[in-house]
Amino acid sequence: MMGFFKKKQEILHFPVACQKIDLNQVPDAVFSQRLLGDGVAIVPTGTLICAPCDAEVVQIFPTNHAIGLMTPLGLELLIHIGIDTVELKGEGFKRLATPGQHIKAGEPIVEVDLEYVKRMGKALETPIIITNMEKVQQIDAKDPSVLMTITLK
Amino acid sequence: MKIVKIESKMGIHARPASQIIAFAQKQACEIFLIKEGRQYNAKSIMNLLSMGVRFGEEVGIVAEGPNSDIAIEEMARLLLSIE
Repeated sequence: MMGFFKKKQEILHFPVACQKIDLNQVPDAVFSQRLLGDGVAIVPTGTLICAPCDAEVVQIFPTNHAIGLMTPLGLELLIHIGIDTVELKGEGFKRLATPGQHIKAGEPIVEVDLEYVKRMGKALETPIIITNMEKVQQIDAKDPSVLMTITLK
Repeated sequence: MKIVKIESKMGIHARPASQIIAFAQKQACEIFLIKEGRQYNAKSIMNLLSMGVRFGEEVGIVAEGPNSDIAIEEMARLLLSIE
């Protein structure tokens, strides 16, 4: 009987050493205006971008700067490393996982050369958003110990 | 099926993807983009980003439902206008 009222939640952990910021602070309207979905953003200080939860790697963009994940509860996550980093054409990004792979929380997906990205004048703000928002009831990013908690409908 | 060749140097990345999806989601018909024989739902953000379309690649457009012909033409125009 107790289980009947329990909401389904996905807890996402930090994918890398970072500072958490609001999507409003991302210098790109596609993300700050939540055009592709809602969530949170980080400014990475570490170089290994890892899975924020157990997930299937749906896609790593050909230039390795963006990752698509599917969580066990069916949420689609997009991790977009830096802003306008597609222009780097793959330089500074190294993929460590393979599309189709099922990975555990904390396993590395992409390694990013932060110094190179900065030197090339690209912002490091990294949006992490849910792209199938129709499944989401609430996103909670206030808890400083996790990336965000997503409550599903 | 209408086929367009992507002339944008960076392919279909986040910015143009958001325009394509916004357009597709407004259509009553179903729209799919085809790449290398695989079908991707233009109304799904993750589907579209999963296509990983690069410069010079060809993308097919199919649509089914109300005003599908107009939707295909408009989608082709959008894909060709990506910077």
